[in-house]
Amino acid sequence: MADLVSYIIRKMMLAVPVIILATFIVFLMLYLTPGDPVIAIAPPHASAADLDALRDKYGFNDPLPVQYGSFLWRLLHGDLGQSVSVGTLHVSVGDLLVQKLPRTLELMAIGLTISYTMGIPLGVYAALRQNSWGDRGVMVFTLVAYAMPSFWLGILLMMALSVYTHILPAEGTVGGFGSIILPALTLGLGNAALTTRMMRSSMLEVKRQDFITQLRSRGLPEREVIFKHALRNAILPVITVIGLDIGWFVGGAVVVETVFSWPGLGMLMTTSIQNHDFPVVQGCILVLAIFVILGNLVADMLYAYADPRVRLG
Amino acid sequence: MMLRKGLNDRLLAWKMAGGVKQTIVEIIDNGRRNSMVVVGFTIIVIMVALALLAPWLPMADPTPRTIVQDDVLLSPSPSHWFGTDELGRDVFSRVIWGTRVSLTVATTAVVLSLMVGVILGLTAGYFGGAVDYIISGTIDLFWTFPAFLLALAFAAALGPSLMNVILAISISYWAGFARLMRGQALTVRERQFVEASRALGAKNSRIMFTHVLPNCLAPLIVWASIGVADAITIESSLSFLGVGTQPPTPSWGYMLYRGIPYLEEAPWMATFPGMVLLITILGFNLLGDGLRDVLDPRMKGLRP
Amino acid sequence: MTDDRKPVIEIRGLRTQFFLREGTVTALDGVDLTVYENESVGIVGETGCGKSMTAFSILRLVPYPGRITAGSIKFKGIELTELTDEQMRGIRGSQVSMIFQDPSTSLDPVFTIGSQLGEVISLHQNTYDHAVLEGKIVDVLKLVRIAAPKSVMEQYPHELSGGMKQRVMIALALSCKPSLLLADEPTTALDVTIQAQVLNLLKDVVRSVGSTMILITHNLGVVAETCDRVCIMYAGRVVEEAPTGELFEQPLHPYAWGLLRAFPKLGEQKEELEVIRGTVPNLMVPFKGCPFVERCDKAMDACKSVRPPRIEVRPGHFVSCHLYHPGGEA
Repeated sequence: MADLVSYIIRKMMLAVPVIILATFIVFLMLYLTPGDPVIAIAPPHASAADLDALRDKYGFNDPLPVQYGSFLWRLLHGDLGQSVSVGTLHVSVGDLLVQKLPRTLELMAIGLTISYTMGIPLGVYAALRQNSWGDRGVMVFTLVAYAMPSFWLGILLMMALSVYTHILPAEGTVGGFGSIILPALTLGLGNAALTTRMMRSSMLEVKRQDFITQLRSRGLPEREVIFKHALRNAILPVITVIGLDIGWFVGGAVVVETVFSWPGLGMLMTTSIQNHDFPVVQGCILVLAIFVILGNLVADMLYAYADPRVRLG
Repeated sequence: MMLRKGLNDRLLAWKMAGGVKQTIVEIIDNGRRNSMVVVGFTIIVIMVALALLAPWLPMADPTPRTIVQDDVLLSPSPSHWFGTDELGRDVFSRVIWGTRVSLTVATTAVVLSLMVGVILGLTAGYFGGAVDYIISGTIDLFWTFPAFLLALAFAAALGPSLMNVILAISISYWAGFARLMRGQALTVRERQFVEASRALGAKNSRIMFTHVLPNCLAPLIVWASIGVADAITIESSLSFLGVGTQPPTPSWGYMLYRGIPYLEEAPWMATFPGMVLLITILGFNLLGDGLRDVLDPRMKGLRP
Repeated sequence: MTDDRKPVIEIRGLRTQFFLREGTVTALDGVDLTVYENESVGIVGETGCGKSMTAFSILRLVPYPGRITAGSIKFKGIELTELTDEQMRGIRGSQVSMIFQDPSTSLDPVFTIGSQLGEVISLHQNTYDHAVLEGKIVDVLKLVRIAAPKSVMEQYPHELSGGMKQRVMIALALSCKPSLLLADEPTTALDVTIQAQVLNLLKDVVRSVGSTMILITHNLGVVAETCDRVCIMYAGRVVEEAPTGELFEQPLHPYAWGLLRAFPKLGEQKEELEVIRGTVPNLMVPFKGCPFVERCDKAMDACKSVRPPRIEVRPGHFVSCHLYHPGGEA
């Protein structure tokens, strides 16, 4: 156990510089925008005087490192700037983010659950019934689901389950369990395809290993050989990609929330982009990036717990 | 000295040609028999043909300047195979022209990522040491960050335009190629013929390109194919959100976005672009997966 | 000498085949073998001759697409080929165990040594009490001379050296005191310095537990050290079977001559190592006669078409070769 704890601490310490790097990149984004950076963060119809005031406030005339320093300082105090959209003028970006983040987290939690509860059993089933019709069906499903962009899948599901059959509400703003299902299902199905593929190939790989035959030679019932031993080993690569999955989910959430008008960070990002509300966009990206980094950290820890060989490195 | 150098050059060129030709022959021979490759390749050929021939096909103007009110929201018929959209434009024509956009953006982005990624990856793997450390660190950073989010951030920052979309996708995708090439370079570097070349006085860059590269052709092709599929997905998603291809240029993603309010009364607006989008992505995925099976089943673990 | 001892395993005419798309591979083509109580029998041969497959066939663990297609395997009088899967499972690990060649790949990497041992013991001995189980695990680890059993129990396979892992394998195999132990190249994957140690351990432990051992190897030196009797296999058949000493002194089959000649002996001066010319036949092609015919210096016409019968040339010394056929040359 001790090696597990030291591994976790090491990983946590490594995450810090990555987060700092993320803040730096987000900071730099302002300078990628065409034109004068001040305009990006200024409310519409700002006068020249207003712009100058802003320049002073944010120190645009200072050298870059100083600007970054004050950016970090403000960040640590929770000051991410103010929105410049017409509807939310002067509202603190931080407030907006805090308001919308829980909705996105809900969505991702349910989506992840759907993805793994579908993907893992399906992958195992396909591996155990290799080359049967069931296996081929699963493979076709994964191919198609993988190729389908999230927004298209969302639209299809919307048409099938809402528009034409009125089983579920299409708009996320209605609230309640019913409205979260469609977007969560969209996210979940898309990732389930990836999980299934991974699980299947991993299971096939493990089944061929020497120790599986060895276990059989010890007289263990087949059920235990497969579900206690093979599965436990086969699931390791799937856990390794949880981090990548989370990254995929975050990107997918942006799109899916937009399709279903789900009031989370993703939707906020899209509308802010369309309104040229730069401070909010910056804030969204920062939060999402940190979420991805933390998600990867948790995934790493989970993997170290599951695979004792990893803790040494 | 001059004579030896000339001989060395010829030897290296011959080696490179051999490696490339070998791989291509292998692809054609074995690929023919793999159903995924055949189907994928057929789809791609059809799509590319449509994209290239679009200007000459007898179709309606995809971006008319005026709205003909009578033509708005017509359901599919012999005169409008895919119906018309809310501005009276022929959906079929827009879908075909959309092929041009998607394919152009995707292939350019992949080619760009490939060039950057290959050069950086080869350099890192071949030279090792501090160079490798720096480049690897950068690769890891870009690799763990979700590609779509990165592309979105850059597209949002740079402003929507075709070039920016290509740039955004490239920035998010080069890491995959770099990782691949770095791995290959690391293994090939140890081999005897590289040492021999160096002993004969060949320049490092020459060795990298004529020895290492041809040996990596197989995985590169696989990743490039899957990369195009991913790039099309990213581009259409960006267009869907409004930061990609701007109207009136027809883009499948944007067409789907415009189709959402009309799902009940005019489902063809979203359905047809969606189907074609799916088929195109599927085509590149099938080709990539199929080639991966054909060229090296051991590669199955690697996911771009 | 052999008749009053009880046979632990009797194999008659065992045929195991693999049904591939490209054709049918006959891995075992009529194997006859008897092993008696408390003895060690070595099975020797080149790679691919079927020695491992014999062991897998006994345990009925022949991998897909292979199957036992003919013959009988009697374990203590019970016909193994007729048992159900569940009955076989009762025998595996408790009455007949197997040690695999490479200890690094034969242990489940995500379970501790203790839990893997505990699994086998509790399964076959119905021991579920924690303390009792732990006691048994410690006992069996001590049996294989592992110095610190309690801490090894908590460790994972990757934390142990090759020699230690193989000792654990032996412990696993002998934990339920099986009547028959199948050891498939138990020292091949180990460092030369450890091989002797592990072999000696194996010999001692098998004897103390009262098991019978079939030792599979390609190394004649190992056989000389460890086995009472030797069985030489070639292309899926047994070609010679004899007590160890007698085989080394007076080998009868031409293949055995070749094997023994190829093995350099200590103190001998040799310029070149002797090889048996030719290569192993393709097992996908069914052949009549003797499989060694292409490589044999003494081949006769009969060897190409008639399968050599198994003849007891001397008491306990069997050979399948037309040279010893009572009718002489055919």
